[in-house]
Amino acid sequence: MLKPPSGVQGSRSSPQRRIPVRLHRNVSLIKTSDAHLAEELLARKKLAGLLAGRLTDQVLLVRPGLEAAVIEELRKIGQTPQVIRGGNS
Amino acid sequence: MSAMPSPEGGRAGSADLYRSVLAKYSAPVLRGVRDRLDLSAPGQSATQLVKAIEEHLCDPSHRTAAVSDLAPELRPALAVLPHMPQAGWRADELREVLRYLGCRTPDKAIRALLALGLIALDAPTRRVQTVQQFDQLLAEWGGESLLLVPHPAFTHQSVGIVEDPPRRGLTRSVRGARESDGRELLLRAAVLWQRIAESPLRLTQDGELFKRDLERLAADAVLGAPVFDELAPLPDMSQLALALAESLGLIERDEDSAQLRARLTAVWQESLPAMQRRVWQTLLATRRWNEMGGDETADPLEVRHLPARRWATLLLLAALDPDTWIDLDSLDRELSLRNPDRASLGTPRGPRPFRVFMGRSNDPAGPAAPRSDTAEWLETFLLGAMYQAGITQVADEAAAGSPVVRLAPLGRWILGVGPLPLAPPLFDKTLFVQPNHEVVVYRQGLTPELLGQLASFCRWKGLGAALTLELTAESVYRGLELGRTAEEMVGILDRHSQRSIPPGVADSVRTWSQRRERLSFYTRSTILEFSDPADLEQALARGICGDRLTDRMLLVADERSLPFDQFRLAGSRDYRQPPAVCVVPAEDGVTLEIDAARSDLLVEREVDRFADPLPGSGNGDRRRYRVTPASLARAARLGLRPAYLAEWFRLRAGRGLPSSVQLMLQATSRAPIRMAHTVVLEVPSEAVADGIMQHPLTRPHIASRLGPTALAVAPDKIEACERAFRELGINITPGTAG
Repeated sequence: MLKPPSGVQGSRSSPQRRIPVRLHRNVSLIKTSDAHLAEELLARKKLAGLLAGRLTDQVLLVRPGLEAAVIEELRKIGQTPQVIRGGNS
Repeated sequence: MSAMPSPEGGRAGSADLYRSVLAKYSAPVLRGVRDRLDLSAPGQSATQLVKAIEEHLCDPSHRTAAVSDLAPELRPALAVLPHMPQAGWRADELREVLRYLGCRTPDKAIRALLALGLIALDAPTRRVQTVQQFDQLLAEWGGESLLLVPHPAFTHQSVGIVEDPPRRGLTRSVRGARESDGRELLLRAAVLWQRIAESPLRLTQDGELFKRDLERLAADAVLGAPVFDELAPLPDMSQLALALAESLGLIERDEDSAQLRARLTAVWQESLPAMQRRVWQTLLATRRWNEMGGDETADPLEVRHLPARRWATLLLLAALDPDTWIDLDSLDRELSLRNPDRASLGTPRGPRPFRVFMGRSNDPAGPAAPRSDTAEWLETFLLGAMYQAGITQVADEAAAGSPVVRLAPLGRWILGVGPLPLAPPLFDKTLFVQPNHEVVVYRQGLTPELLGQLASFCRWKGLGAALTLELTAESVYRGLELGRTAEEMVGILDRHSQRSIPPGVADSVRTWSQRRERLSFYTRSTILEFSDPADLEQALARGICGDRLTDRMLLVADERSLPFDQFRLAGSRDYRQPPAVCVVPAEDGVTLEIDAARSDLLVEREVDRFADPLPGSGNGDRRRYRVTPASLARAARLGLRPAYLAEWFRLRAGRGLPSSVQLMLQATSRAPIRMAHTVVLEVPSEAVADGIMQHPLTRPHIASRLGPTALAVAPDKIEACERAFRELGINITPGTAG
């Protein structure tokens, strides 16, 4: 996790350019420790059917609404994912 | 008289509720309450009156004065007052409890408490405008949600007990007095909690549990194991455990995934008596479970009466001296006499309509009265549920040997008629960890805290005098998911173990824990997509915390931490919403263009699986792909079937599968396409073609109809066809091959 560098909090008070950004909310994804594990997961036909595809070498996008099924499938194949539940306003 | 323990939710919360309900009264009604309390409140506004009444009744002397003039026939209500749930009690239930306690005019008693502000009436969608409306609402309200909310001060002070205690079947001379350790029901709740943590329960659209899940719980060997120190069997243990886990806050509804999930909660930090009190509250109020065998076999009318009957039973026991026992039959008769529905039930008949005694009866007690239909219930309630919760003690009457019962010290404390019992000595070192990863725990040293800790990362194997659990990769993973760390788990075992834990066990916990680091699953997270890498760097420099996915994308687990004033939103997409139409198929049907302005993260990954990107199409707003036989074959290998593709085109392109793609799917499906020489017969009109298809001379020679005015003739039937036409007097002109 990237942390803010020390001493940057004060810079917020000065007028700054607002950074253009596109927001993707309520995204569910799997992040693996290495690309091989991501390959391994995609090679599982049932699991692959629950995923939307690969965002990067180590990041797989989960099809919306299928989160519980993906977790269940991961556990079935012996994986123990660290589940991080996000929260949106 | 001891003070009741501080109830959950806190006094401040219950005072707020009481005030908010009182605030629904009109000012004249509030003034009426004020006058009944002889309260000289200076303020006249409703808000001032509510505040004045609430504060006035916080003073014990004011409370005593307020109830001093209460008529004797209404005083049973005072015995109930300290035990009313702070969230309110349904009026029909309170009415029934009062009737069980010998109050012949329960509505009048409730009305008296309302007039004094000791309880407040919450009628949804109705505002109490006049004092007379109390009577109207109590008499006419048909809904179940008419709530009576007590003044919070009464939940801390007992103001009276049942004034007409049982007088028959009492004894002080007993043998073999027994009291449970009060842990059994907590253990069952902990087992259920763990099972749900392992595998959450699914919820139907109505928010109910699936029958299959309930059956799975009912079949669980540990959850349904025989109760240690059992005096009366408890039916449907899984339902009871579910009711307990729900009320203890061990499980929560996750509406997003429509599941009932386990959660780590601070409730395990409470003392054993406090937890027993919670169990007791649940046992008294629950309708999910009942002593007569679950919710399927019980008579709904009987279930409706249960809370009142439970309360009445305990309040009758609370009215006895601490060293007095009562036999179950007498208590049963006492309850039957007080049963509000007694008149309608009639007198139960004995096994024989009459008995003949010759000379003197040899039974000094006279003929035994038949057991009522509540006798079995009473046994299960007092010797089963209440005994296991540590509320009652059971013994045998010294002379006759019949079972007798009384409140245990804990029960007397909970009911406000005794001091808090002294805590037994605690055995901190109460478990053994075996090299085979099995954990044996002795109940004597099991505090709620240790119970919650062990249940969070060990798997239950058996309940009994000693408890058996085991450490597995799955159970350690579950502990990590509930928020524990590997070192915490090892520390807990080490602290309570009589010997050092085997090094292999500690290593296993650490190794299993590390495996979890390999895979992170983010649900409902937010991705910030920057237009260029420099913007992402700038955001990080400004203190935005996140996990870099690419040089332009930052993953933020919880978007509530984002300083939105730092950003200019160029677009926002919520992935819980249906996908947007953002793909435009070209005229050829096989070339697809993605509109970058409307697209999302998923669409390119989706297209990647069944189409190939076209070179040089990454610039500008539209990215182009082509569907080819090879790309469709790849999709087939990934398990994407034509039905998936059809649905994808409907959602993403707003149309059905293009014909050219269907053509290629035909190829990948390997269904043959036939190619053959044929002769085409062209006729001047549709009617002529219909005639040829219908006439018995011509029909056998036609292979198929190609169109409204075109028919196919098989090459080997040309001559026969020509003969048939000649016979019908029709000339055929040969055409030229095109």
